[in-house]
Amino acid sequence: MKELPLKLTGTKITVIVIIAVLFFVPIMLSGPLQLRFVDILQMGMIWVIMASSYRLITMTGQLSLAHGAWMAIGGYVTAVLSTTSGGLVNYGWNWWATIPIAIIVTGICALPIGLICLRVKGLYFIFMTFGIALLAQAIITSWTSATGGTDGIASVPSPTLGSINFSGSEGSTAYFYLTFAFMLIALLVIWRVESTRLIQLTDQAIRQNDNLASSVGIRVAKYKVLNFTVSAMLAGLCGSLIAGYNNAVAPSSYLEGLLPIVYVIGGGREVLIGPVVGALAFSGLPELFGIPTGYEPIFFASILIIIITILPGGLASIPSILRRRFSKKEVIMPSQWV
Amino acid sequence: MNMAHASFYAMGAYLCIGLYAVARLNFFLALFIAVVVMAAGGLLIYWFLSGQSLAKTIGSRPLGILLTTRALSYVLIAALALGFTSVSEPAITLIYGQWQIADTNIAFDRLVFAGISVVLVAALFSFINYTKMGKSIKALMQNRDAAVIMGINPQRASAIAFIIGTIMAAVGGFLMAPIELADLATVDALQFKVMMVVIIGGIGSLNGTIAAAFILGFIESIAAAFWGTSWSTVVVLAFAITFFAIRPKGLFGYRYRTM
Repeated sequence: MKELPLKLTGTKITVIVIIAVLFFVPIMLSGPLQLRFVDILQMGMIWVIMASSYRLITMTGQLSLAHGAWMAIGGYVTAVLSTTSGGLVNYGWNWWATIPIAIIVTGICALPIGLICLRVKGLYFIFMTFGIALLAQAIITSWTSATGGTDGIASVPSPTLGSINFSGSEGSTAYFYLTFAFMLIALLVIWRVESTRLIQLTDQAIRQNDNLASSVGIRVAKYKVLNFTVSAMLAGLCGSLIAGYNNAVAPSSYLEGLLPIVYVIGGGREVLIGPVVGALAFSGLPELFGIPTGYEPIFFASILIIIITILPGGLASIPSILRRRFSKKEVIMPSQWV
Repeated sequence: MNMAHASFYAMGAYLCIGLYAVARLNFFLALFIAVVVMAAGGLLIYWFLSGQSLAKTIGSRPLGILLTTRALSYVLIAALALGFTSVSEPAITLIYGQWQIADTNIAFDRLVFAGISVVLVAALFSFINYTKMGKSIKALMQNRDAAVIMGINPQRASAIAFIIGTIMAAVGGFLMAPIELADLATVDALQFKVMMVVIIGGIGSLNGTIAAAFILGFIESIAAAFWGTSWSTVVVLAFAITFFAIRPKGLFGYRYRTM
């Protein structure tokens, strides 16, 4: 919104604080504390990309359970193309080169699926995407010649750039900043697209009532499919990043259908900062509180149920609620934030 | 739309393991206890789901129920996994022996299970079509407002329908426990197959559900015979998704309800 002066709003402060914290943490901490935080935040940033891309689908009012499938496709494309030795097929591509391929392949897969699934709405859409996620998992498990079945592919090399090896292991912070860079780029892309007045208003119209939107001439199908595909492509990027970080891919790491929903709804659906906050907070909390692996689903499910019942706007709505409680005069809330 | 249905099935299976195999109770006593427990649990869950707060977040109650039951399913499965970590395989066999027909062996316990399933489905069918409560549920399905006007209590009928569904899922799991390996990883796929069977059969039609169940079951078995079990899942999922894309109404659906 170019008309408003550049104010230092609360949201902008949050964004700057988060980015600064992420940037400085690996530098300022050291020792085992650094290892732990870098590890947590590393995955946290990848989840940020995932959650932000997931929010794109919710911007048109749909809830998809297939996000994990896109991450899996991206991850496996990277894995299959870049393993150099010990893998099943050794193409030995450069990791950097696999990223655009992964994104494009994911997009190619997502487009027809989006066209099919978006013919139905709401409940049935959720279910179709659930089926897609299961289908992806089944294909990955069965197609052992390409994907290694349930064992996955364990020999994905770390990316290199000249003499720098971006390994994710041994406490090296190189991959951390790599992910940080990708996260910033992804968020920037999403932000630029969202700031476009046309996209903003169209998505809002579709989200609120797509029949009505279509009756005033908006090509609803086109925007829904567009959002769906772009979101899937960004998720593919996530998958590639995870593959490079873990140096491996396996079916289980991607297909948690509920996770993006928790991050996005828990963080706040309306604003761009919502999924960022949600992803960082909710992925970091189980680690910080030492919740053992078996209990994680209970934790996430409880968060979801709590958010649904008490705080429908997610974490990002807390400042606005506080503002409304403590302000003395009538506060007129802007309809769209950053 | 209950996404926790398959987890009720799993609960039934684990109740069987827990009550019958571990605690060594009489089989029918264990079954009875399991039914009571699941009925109580189903009622609790139903009360939770029919609360008002679900409507606010997602914007519509069915979606809220879907998400909440999905979360619930996660919780239940995680709880079962944690509670039963030491049980890897049910070492129970109820009925020994096989029957040889032509070239193939058919295990007795699978026959008995099939027989019980037929009886249960027949019971459900007669309940829906011939008893007053069953017909109320059917009426509520066809036209909710008209049914309410006619004096049907929607909460009571919905609760009973939900509980019956829960009990049947649990009994299914309970009876299957001696036959097949209880495996929590397949719950998601099972859930999807269950929902697909209902949707392809057509929501609101019991006949459709039965027909769809048979069709999908055949496809899966035949695919497994040709290409192996893991590909059979792919085939049946792909078939279900394609069928739904082409004909969202299902086989015998009353009407396409947009939710």
